[in-house]
Amino acid sequence: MSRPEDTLAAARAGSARAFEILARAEEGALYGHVARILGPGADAEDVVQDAFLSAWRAIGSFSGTSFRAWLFRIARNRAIDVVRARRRKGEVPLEPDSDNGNVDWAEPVAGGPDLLTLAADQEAFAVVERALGNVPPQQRDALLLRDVEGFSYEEIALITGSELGTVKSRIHRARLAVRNTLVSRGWSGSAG
Amino acid sequence: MTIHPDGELSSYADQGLGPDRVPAVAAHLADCRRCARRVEELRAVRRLLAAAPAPRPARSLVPRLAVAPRSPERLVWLRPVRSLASIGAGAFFFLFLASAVLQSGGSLGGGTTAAERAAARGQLSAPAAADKATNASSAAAPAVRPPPPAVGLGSPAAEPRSVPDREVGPPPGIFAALAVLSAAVALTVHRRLRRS
Repeated sequence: MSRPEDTLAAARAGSARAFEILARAEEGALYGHVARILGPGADAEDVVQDAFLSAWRAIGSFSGTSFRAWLFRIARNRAIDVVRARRRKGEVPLEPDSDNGNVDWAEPVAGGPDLLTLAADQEAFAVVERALGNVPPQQRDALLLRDVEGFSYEEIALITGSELGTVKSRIHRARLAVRNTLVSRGWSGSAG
Repeated sequence: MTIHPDGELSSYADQGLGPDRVPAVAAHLADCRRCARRVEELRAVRRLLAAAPAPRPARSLVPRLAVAPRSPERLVWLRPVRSLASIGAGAFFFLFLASAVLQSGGSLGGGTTAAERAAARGQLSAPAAADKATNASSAAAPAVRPPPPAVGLGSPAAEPRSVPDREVGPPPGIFAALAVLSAAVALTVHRRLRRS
């Protein structure tokens, strides 16, 4: 059971131990992703746990090749459901979810810190997190799946159930929004 | 007027642009410092995002699946077991009560008399008890007094003897044990179904 495909086959055959091995390998990344959509805390933990249970109950019918993408799909769908429920309750203000329209490029200020300087500063990560928090959830979701989890555009389209063009648009808009936030904080825009 | 492919720069940076658009965008970037710089900025943002520490869970989120049922539908067959065990527990308890009553009632109303019961307890010798029983049963109709038995007090026959219980079925303890066992099975199955 050392190879991942063997572990997956064992899990599909009903081995709880094999499934737990697979789940533990994705636990941190899955929580990190969901927590960046919902915010860290009980909601994110509940969504991840629920996703694991749902995956376990349905793994017999899993026929794809990427268990990881399948797991992320289950978790992010539940996370987006929570976002929608919060909106209905008025817990979060309505955000523009449109993937159309232009986003302006903020112009960097000459003489500001470049990326290397910024990345060395832990404060920069806090700025990035705040910038992500201002990005609409579906765009944030797509950007994180690409830049943090490393999924391909095609995989993200499958995970989110969206068209490829929509995925590209969401990623671009979210990335641009983060860039503009960094620029507004004085980043010179240098690639470092 | 130059048209900048701003909306395609992220896809280009990710090598996710369609092959039909790559040559055109690449040619534009070779001539446009503004767009080339923006592509580098977007790549820098990507690197920064990848390097940012992600939130970590405060506890393990992987459920203990070894004790969780894989699919609740697979336990449907346990439901009639729970029902049968519950009914069985009730039935055995009823049998236990009925058996206990019969066991005690058998000696009271089964044709024996107080004298016989006393004899069984060893309070009287058998002849004396028989005598007393005869007197009691024929009090209303005088009859010839039967001759006293040949054996008297102190004879071996006069030793206290035990009267075997009337056979009315299995002892009540068996039904009580079966009732407890059935109830335990019903409770276990019920808990198992609730967990699912």
